[in-house]
Amino acid sequence: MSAKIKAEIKKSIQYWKKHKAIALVSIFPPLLICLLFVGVFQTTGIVDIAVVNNDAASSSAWTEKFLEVMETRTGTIPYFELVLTDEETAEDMFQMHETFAVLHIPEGFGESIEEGDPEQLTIQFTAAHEDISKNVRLGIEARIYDFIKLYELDTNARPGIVVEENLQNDSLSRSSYMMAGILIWTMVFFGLLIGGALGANEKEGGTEAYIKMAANGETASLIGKWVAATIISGVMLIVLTLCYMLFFGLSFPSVMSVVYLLLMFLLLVTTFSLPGVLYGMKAGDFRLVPAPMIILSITLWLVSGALNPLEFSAGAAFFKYLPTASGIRIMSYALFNRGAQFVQESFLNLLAWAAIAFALFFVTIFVKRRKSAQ
Amino acid sequence: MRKIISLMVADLKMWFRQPKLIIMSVAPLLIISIFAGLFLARTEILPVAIVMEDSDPAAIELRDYLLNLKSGSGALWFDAQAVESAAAEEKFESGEVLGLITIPARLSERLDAGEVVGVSITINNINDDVTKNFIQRMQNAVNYFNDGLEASGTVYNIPRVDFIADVSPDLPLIQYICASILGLAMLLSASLAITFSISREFEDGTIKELIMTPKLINIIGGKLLSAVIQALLVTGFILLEEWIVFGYLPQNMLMQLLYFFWGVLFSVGLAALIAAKIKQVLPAGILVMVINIASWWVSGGLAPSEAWTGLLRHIADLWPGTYFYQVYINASLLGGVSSRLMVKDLIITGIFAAAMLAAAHAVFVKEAKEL
Repeated sequence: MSAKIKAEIKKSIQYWKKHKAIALVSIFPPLLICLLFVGVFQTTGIVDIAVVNNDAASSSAWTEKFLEVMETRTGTIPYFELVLTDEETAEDMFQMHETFAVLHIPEGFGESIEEGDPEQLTIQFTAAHEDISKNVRLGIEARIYDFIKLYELDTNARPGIVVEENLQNDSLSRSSYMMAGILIWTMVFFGLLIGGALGANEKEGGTEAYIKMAANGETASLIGKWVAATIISGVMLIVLTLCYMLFFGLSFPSVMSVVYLLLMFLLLVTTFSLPGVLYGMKAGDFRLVPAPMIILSITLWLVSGALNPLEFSAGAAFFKYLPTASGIRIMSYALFNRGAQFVQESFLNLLAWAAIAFALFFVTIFVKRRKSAQ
Repeated sequence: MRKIISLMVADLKMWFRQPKLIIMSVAPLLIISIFAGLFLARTEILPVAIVMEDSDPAAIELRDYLLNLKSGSGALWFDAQAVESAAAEEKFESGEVLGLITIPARLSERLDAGEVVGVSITINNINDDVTKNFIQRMQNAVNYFNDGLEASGTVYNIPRVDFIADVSPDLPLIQYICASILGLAMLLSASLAITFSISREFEDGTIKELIMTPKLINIIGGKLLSAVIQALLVTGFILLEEWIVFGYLPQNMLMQLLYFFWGVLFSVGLAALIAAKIKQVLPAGILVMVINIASWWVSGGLAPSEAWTGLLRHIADLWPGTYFYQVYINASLLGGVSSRLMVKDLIITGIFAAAMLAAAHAVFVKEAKEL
């Protein structure tokens, strides 16, 4: 039996080496996903905004100070890229969807600040997208807050309240945070895809009948493919992790974080490569493997806190039991020291999923043997 | 014309007989629609605990601001609960709330004395985006509080903003997602239909017989007509799903038909080119699917491309699909776009479509003759 399993592992690895196109197919989606998702969240912090300054003629120092604050790159995002222009051009930019918002500063704005009764500003914007509208609304409010704080509250020129932030952890950009999820998704995707590819190759190659005819052939083949899928996924993950480190700034802060990565790999790839192999055996055609595996893994990833922490999203009470959600929580802790309170529960959850995978294995073997006996 | 219709009927019969192809056309759109709609389109409501050190009237006023602060579309900013200090700490430590707001004691008295009072917020900073949302929403509340503040008989004002949107209230994110997915449905279903139709002829070896017909235009016409009907069915199905599940219906339904034909003509050229080159149904279908979904993403599928900066903005500006989605999404949500924008985008997408159709025709004839 063990000789058969070893032979199957060797055969699967040789199959992978021969089919380099499949290896390329499996590397392409993670890099594309990374580029699209991480790329989007790396650049959403800056918003172009057209400014029509109707108070320019007065050369008021207060209006100048206000515009300076609008342009600052400190405090919370979005940062504004001001495009100073006239009324007509601003309207044209807005109509042609070249800018998302136009800020109109009224005549006499600076003077009215001096007098303690500021004129109202106007922002014209497209309200078609709630999230971007929110960013513009809150971004402007944040700049007004900064302006008042800098020139009135910090100088004790007036009473008022200010926000005193107490951040418990270091700064962590959303795109960096997402790398924990990307790593977990890559493991799940490899487990499913490589498992599926190896599972399908017997039917494709016409060798399925020989496997069935050999004593314990199906069991040995299943175990061999399962182990081979895990080994190959490991090699592919090393390549991808290096790419993530090189192109997307992923870094491991300690040796322990690498240990966590290995643990996640073992638990997740073991759990997901078995269903991958079984699906591949059923489909019997590699061309039917990538699309469902991409859709399944991305769906699991998205609902498991891929873009933001799980507790921040809808359905968290249910989705926290997904293996991907547990993996993301553990990797977030390993890489960024966030969410220590979820680690123990997440490990237990992952172990339960691994146990389910083994149970699935035994059920499959039982069913196959019964079928053979009949 | 009879020839075109009989070819179209044969093509449609083939499509209906192969559930695999129908699933490939509908499943990605359905999955994206359901998951993006249910999980991405929710406004992020921040769970926080508010600790009040006393029951000062100014503190109550600030707490009420925090409890009732709403987004432009009417969603609450905070899922706030006013609790005792110890309970708040416990909730914060367990991760039940993401932040703690502590409103200090004797707020009215201190403000009357001309003081600047700090309101402490503790955030676990799980990532900068959550923290940003937290701080900005707090600053928003502070602005409301500080504006018109009366202390020792003096009123203190701050600059306020009149937000003028082209629709009011701000449209919920789900509407944007639904509109963009419907645009994707038009492009993806038309692309897949033409891909399946052409690549199947190559795969089955029937292309030689087809190419020998005296008028190639009949074949192209039949296949295009079949693709239009398939795309219409799929798009109609997705529209129905969005209406039933999310209550979304685009503005100006009649114009939808015009956008649909625009989308079909824009997308079929590239798809036909891929199908004629790859010649196999599944690989060609998967490639077309990946290109369409990636294109939807960079063209403003999840957020308008004009709100982006950096590399993605450049990619979006260069990709012609952006100009289809720009007009389609805005017109579907706002009821229309400026005629200048419509003409500009029509010209850009038209040039792309014409180039792709010409290239597809050339490649199709060449590949068929080489068989």
